[in-house]
Amino acid sequence: MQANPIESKEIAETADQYLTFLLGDGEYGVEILKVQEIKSWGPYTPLPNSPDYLLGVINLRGAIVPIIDLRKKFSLPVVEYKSTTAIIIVHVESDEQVRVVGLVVDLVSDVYHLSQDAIQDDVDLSASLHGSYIRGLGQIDNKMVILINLEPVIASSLEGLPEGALS
Amino acid sequence: MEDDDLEELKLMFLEECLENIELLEQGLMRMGEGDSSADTLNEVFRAAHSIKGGAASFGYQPMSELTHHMETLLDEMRAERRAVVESDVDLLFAGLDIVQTILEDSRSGDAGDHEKRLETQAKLEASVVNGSGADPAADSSGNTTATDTTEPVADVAPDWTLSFVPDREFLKRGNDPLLLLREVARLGPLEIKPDCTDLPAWADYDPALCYLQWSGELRGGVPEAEIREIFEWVEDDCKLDITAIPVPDTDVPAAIQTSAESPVSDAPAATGAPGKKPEKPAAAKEGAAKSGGGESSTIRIATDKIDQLINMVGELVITQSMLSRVGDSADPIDVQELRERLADLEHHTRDLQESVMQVRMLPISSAFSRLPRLVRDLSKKLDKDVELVMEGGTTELDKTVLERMVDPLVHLVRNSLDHGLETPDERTAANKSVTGVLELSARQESGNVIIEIKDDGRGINCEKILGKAREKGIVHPDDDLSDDQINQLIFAPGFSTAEQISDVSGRGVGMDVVRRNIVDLGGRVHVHSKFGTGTTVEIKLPLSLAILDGQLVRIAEQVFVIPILSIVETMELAQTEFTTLPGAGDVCRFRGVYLPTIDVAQQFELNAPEPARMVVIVETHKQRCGLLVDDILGQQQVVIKPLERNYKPVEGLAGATIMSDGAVALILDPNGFKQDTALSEAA
Repeated sequence: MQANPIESKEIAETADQYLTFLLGDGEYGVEILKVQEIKSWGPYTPLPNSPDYLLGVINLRGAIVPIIDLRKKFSLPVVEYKSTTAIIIVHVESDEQVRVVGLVVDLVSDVYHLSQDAIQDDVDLSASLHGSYIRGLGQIDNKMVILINLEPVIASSLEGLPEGALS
Repeated sequence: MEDDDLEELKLMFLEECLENIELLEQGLMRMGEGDSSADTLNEVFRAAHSIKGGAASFGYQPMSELTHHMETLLDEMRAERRAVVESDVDLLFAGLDIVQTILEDSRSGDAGDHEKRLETQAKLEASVVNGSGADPAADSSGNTTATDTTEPVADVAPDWTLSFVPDREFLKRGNDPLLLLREVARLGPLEIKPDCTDLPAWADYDPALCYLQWSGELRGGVPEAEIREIFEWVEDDCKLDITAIPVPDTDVPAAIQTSAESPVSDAPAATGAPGKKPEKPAAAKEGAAKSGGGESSTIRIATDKIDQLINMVGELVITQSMLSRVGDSADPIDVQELRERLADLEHHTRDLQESVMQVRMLPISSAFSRLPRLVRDLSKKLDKDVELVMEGGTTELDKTVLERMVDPLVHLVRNSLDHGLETPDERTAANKSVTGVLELSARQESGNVIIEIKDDGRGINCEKILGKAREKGIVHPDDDLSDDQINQLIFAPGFSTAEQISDVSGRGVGMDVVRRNIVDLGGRVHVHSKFGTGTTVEIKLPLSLAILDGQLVRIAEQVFVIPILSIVETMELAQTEFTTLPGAGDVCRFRGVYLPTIDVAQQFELNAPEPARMVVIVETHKQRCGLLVDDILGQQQVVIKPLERNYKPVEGLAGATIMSDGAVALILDPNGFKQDTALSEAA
């Protein structure tokens, strides 16, 4: 099968796109190709014997999907869930298996196109606790977007490690 | 790509082999019981033949050699040239065992026991030669290659001219003309020439098609059947003419078209027939399918595809019940029509779900079928006279449950034979008939399958068991147990009362593993026994692993599901003797025994506004235990969804399910709790 040149160009373009969301004052972005859908906030079932940032599970059309409160995961101050609270459903490969996980965020913001040179990825964040979670810093109209590295965020959550064990 | 195809075909062959081995075994069992009807012999012969053919085409030389000899012996019997005698049946069994070993070895990649095979092979051969009584075969050279023939031939077989014209698509079906011709060459001196006239111009040449044909002469007096046999697997894919070269003093039939008679070689659908009966529905069905144009009545489907189907239907059921709720709450005048259609939808979805679940169900006879052999072998070994009676083989059970029940069943049957049933002398002394009876039965009962293994042996000696249990510290010296409670002690870990450890049973690792396997499947096991008259082991299993009958309970404002099958009893906490042992957790008294009690809310770190009111007594691996809950709600069938699909297994949970309102409810796993009370440590 030969790659369709137009198709692959489209993929290349989408690959540069990021869905951004707010957690407090900060704007964060995830690769749009890993986003499956966005769900409005609703009831969930808490899971026992799990870290506190793992809120519980929801029913996503019959699939049992765990949801992670990113504020708690990133040790940000906790706020009440409100009408703008949303769950971004992402799929990530972990343990050779595609897993579907929901990320609870304050507000879904926008979709940006960010070329590789607009991303600064040489910021030394190793000193910070969540360094490996951050893929780089994007610059959009004098605004900074923190681009998240989904895999380590999800992997560490699914292993159920308490935050801080990974550094 | 082609390698993958071959690999897949190989796997199919191995699967088919298993089916054929089963058929062979069942048939041999019947032969051992004195059934020498043509049907049985033919069936056994066909099974051996299919294994042989497949083994040869996939390069399992040892297997094909061995089955060849089995087949030769069977063929003799089939042709009524020799009687079916016990020693031959034993020999065939021995051969079958080796085929099975080779099969297992080839799956695991081991080399296998060569010597034993050769030995059995030689014995089979010897039996054919001695037993046949007729003149030894013309070319029986005594070595053990796949092609040597010991079949006595009445007439001197002539030489043959062969014409072999493969179809264009011959290669695409995974056939190799060269291999076939080589095989023919092993029968005798072969002169063969290819005919290349059909070869197209280079530009039009498609390497995937077969343009060649062959013709030649085979000498050495090979029986025609042997030549045909080589081509048997490809007879629909080629045109084969075998013509005798006239020999002055024999008259043999001239050219016979391959289509004239076609020996059945397909692997038949294996299940269905209860092992002990001589009439054979599966074989009959197979015959019908054959005459109906070679269509197969079964189809192989990967289990994960079926599971996906089951999942989707489960979703449909949930969506449907959500719609019903919406319909029920709407204005009745506006939505009369909607409600009726919703009722239809409900009906259809339930039917659909039932049918889809049915796909995974297999008759229990496929697990029972290997037991007659076991009983036959063991009773010989133990010098006991045993009659095995099996009932309810058509009772259906989920494939996974069935597969995982085989080992426990085998173990329980062994146990009955070894410990339960007495020797003929003992039985005569006890005024019983000399032949012990072992009854196996299966039946469906209110959404569960009940399997019973019943013997009329010596029964369980309660005194002895209790003494042993006290000695081993399983039971406290002061505890007073009912006979029924004592009987269940045989399932306790590390418990074995066999005075002598035999290689049949008695290492004390058995019964608790049996129990564990059953409990793992969400089932229960109970033993009833009367000293001197016999023992019955009753196993209760869920019909399926995908769906379970759940008891909904409320714990700290959250709804949880407890599998009904694991529930022994529910009680109000106020009515039980409930005590907290300092530093060792809670216990409650249930029917005279103190059981460890788990505060689920506390273990799950849930905020319970008020203390629990109810206790649910459940069966676990180790022992019974009590789960504290706030409230008992309704009962409901739920679809089990594993948490590890998107997360990971959680201690104390067997999975999750979706309720009719779309919310997720968690299913408790009674085996998953840490039983950290003093009682469970003692056990």
